[in-house]
Amino acid sequence: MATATRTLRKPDAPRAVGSANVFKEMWNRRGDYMYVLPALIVMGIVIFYPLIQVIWLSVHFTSPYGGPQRFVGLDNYKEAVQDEHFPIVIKNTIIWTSVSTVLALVLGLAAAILLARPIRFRGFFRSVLFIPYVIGQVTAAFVWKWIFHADFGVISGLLVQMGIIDKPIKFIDSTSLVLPSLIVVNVWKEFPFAMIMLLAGLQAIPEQLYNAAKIDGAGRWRRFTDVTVPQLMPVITVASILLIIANVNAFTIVWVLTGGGPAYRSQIFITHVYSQAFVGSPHFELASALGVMVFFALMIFAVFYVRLLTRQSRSNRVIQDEGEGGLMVIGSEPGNIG
Amino acid sequence: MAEVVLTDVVKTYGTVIAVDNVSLTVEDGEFVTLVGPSGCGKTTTLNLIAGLLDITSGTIAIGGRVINDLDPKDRDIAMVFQNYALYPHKSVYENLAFPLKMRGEKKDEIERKVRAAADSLGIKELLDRRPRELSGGQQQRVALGRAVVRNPQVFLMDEPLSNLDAKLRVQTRAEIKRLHRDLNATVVYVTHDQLEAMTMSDRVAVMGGGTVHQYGTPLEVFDTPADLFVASFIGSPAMNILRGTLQQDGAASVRVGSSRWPLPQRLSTAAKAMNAGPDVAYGVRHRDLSVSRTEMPDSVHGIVYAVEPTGDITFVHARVGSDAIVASVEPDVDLAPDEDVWLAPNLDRIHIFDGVTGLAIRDKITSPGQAPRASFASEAMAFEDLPVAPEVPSVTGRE
Amino acid sequence: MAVATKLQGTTADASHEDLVARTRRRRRIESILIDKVLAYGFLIVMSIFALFPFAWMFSTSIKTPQEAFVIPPRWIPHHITFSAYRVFWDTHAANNNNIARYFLNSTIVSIGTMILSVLIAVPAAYAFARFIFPGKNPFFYIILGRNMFPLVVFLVPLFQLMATLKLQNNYFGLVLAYLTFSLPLAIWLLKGFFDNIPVELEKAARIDGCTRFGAFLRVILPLTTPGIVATAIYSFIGAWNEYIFATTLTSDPKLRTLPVGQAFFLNENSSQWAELMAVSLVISIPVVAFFLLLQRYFIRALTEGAVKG
Repeated sequence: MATATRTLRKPDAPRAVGSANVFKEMWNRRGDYMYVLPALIVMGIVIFYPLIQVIWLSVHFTSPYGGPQRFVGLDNYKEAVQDEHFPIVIKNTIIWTSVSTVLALVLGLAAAILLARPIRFRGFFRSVLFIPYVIGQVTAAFVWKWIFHADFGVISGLLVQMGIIDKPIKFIDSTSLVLPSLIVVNVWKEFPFAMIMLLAGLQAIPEQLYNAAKIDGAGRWRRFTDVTVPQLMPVITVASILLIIANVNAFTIVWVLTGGGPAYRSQIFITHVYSQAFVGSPHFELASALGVMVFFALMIFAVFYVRLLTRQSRSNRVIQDEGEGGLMVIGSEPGNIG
Repeated sequence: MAEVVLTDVVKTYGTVIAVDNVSLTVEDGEFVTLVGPSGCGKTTTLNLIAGLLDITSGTIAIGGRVINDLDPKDRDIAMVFQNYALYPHKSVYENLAFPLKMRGEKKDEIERKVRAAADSLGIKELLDRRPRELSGGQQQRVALGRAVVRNPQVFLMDEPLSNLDAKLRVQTRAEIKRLHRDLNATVVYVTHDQLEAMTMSDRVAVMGGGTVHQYGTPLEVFDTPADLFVASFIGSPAMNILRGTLQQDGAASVRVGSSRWPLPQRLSTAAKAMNAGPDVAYGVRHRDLSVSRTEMPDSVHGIVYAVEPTGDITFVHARVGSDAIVASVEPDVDLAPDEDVWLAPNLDRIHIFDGVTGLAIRDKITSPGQAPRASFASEAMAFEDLPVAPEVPSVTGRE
Repeated sequence: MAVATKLQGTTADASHEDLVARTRRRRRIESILIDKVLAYGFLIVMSIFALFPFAWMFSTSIKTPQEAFVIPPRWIPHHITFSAYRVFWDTHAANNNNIARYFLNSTIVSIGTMILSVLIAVPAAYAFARFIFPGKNPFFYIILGRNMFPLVVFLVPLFQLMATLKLQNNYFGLVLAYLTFSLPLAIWLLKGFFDNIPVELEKAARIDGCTRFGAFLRVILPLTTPGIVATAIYSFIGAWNEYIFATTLTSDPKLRTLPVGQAFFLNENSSQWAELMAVSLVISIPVVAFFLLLQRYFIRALTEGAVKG
């Protein structure tokens, strides 16, 4: 007489079997690869190849005058770091990135909060505030260069006219004001990005949460700190990652407005990399080493941030669906468009 | 029209088995429902029949033809989806015409068929509209129409009623049933709603963990559940299941905590014959429990926890030891929370299950259910070894 | 008597009336102060901040060279002239910068980038959104990781690559280089749009008689048109505004794009601000127009991933 000995499996726990054969699976799905093949080829040429080339260059000695290249390990990295301007470049980059990001987020959040409510002319304000984001970096840089002009700049002119100052301010020609001035331009250009992201985030917050908070006796400020901020945190995090990456890589505004000057006071990492490669005698190897460094720095930063983000979203947010991981958002980047 | 035969069908995703050795025969013109909780493999099975997923092993045949390697378009099937899946950029007419157009039918022929289908479903006036201009119920009709218009061999329906509101659902349920009758169509229907499964189907396949736990008429799965999974899934409110120990000394019973639940001698014998126990699960449906304010023979003491009148029946929730029991009484019985009650199960209608395998323990006489046609994968092997459940043709399934 | 009637059925007393009155007062003040004064005040200030550079750009572009350098600066010039705009057809006025040619170059390169990005990205994004195939995730992460690698650094190897492939000073070379940033972005944006289309539609289409590719062409593509348009515009604007690649990979003045021309124009004629502002304004018109016309898609594409993720 057979004794029933098997246990009944839980209906929601499917059985697992040994690992599937990856290559067989790939062959079975060869049709799928046809869709990505063109992208794969192009990316191979314009992304993978350059990437590998940069890494290769960064560990080889290259003479600006030609001649054989030889493997030198991390010497290029050492040389790049020991550059006399390296400390000020790092300092500028940190100030530039952090201040730009925070200001863009604060302005963007303020505008988003006002635009998230059904006020009059909402569409108009949203369009107007978004315009700086879509125009070209070069165009933006030139307009502001003209606005900041040492002799005929419009801001100085108005201030002189109003009797607040007696001679024009040398915004971008002054060692102390150059970096703040550039940050103003950068924030002008990218706060709309923060605004739009946060606006979408605000509109996704369920109305019930506000109603619940109102019934619980929370005033405007409490509703902001206890409902809006925590609910918005994932979007703020994403927006800040994107802004930070864009700011670290922001080249054109700085380059066109000041070229890093005066006296390196506005030289940030990325313009420094460009100068190494294309200004004066070309030091591709130093530029490559610097590029690899910033890549790893951003990578570590992004992974760390995404971890934080996923943990936050698990605890703070009304989870709607199991979307893909946080890294996925890095596609839309603020700097790319202009 | 044709029968659908699944033989040892397996679907794996990487290392996870979604459908585990399912064999199932849907007769020509039969309405069969795959029912089970989410993740049980029912939708995957349907998608395998449709050809939307590739089968890992086993065969699927429609009308005697193995269709494993055919594209969905060549299987002569139609499918209705939970979210209707109407093409948003096409009008209702174009939606209905699309499958015919893809088959290369002539324009006037298409027109005739579309009008006929629209007519029979009462959506004639909607033909020029876009799906987003329709209500949920209308969209569902259009989706049905798109399936009907091509007169396929088999209809596949994936939770087609889930997005409708309660009233509309009842109405559409009847319409689908009627449609099945009128078209004399073979239908494979997927739902997680056991009530839908019971009311609509000729036969029901209860699925869990990628396998078919029981395949039989609605009344069979209701009255003679093959295992604990089926017992707890079918019926609403769910069957009361109590885990306890089989007591063979003196009057047979199942001991749950300090209560002794009575057991007819035949089940005790069957358990002995099967070497089952002593851990068993004791199952009794709400309407098979009589409730009394005074102690009765073979009854168990409980305390009323809550009373839920529904109008034509009143549910009594009682606590017996640490277990929560649902019983039902006539609406005129007036019980109050915290009252002492005695619950007496109808000894002819109780179920016991092996505590380890979950399989039903049955004796010959009171288990008129057919031996399941589906193989239950590995569990089924154990089941079929049992000296119980002989093939007894039964229509009523009632004792 | 009347008072008693009024209060009947309530527990009103002096403190209750007081609370009601205070609440009303507070709501009135809040609604005026916060909802009106503060909100509109801030939005107007922000709008001025956002727009005044454009106003100044326009104001300068209609000035005579003399008036551009007047202290204090005038917002409304005394002599309005559009002579600065002649740089678009008069190469002499633009100091041998053929701005019309630059316009053409920018258009060709931007349209080229747009077409190639969309053509390549659409099937790839669809595959990422729908299929599960080995290697999918690593590939996708590399696409996204590209953004962390500064474009400037790509210049060095791309510069060498274009030299090797003889694609320097070549429209196609520039388009290819632009795919470095355009393609990953396009794939990402489009994936978001494909993700939003219910999978059942393809299933229905396949059952209704389409092949897998047929379902993609006949059902999914028509539904993704807004997304494709948004992506195309993103690619276009990205290329239209691009500066570093263009300036590094083209040395032939005939192939300069507008931003490069703009930069050269300034370096060579640092006093022709009216002309420069005229050029800047005209360059901005297509992008701003695109944006205003299609801002719904534009904004959706931008926020799609972030808010969901």
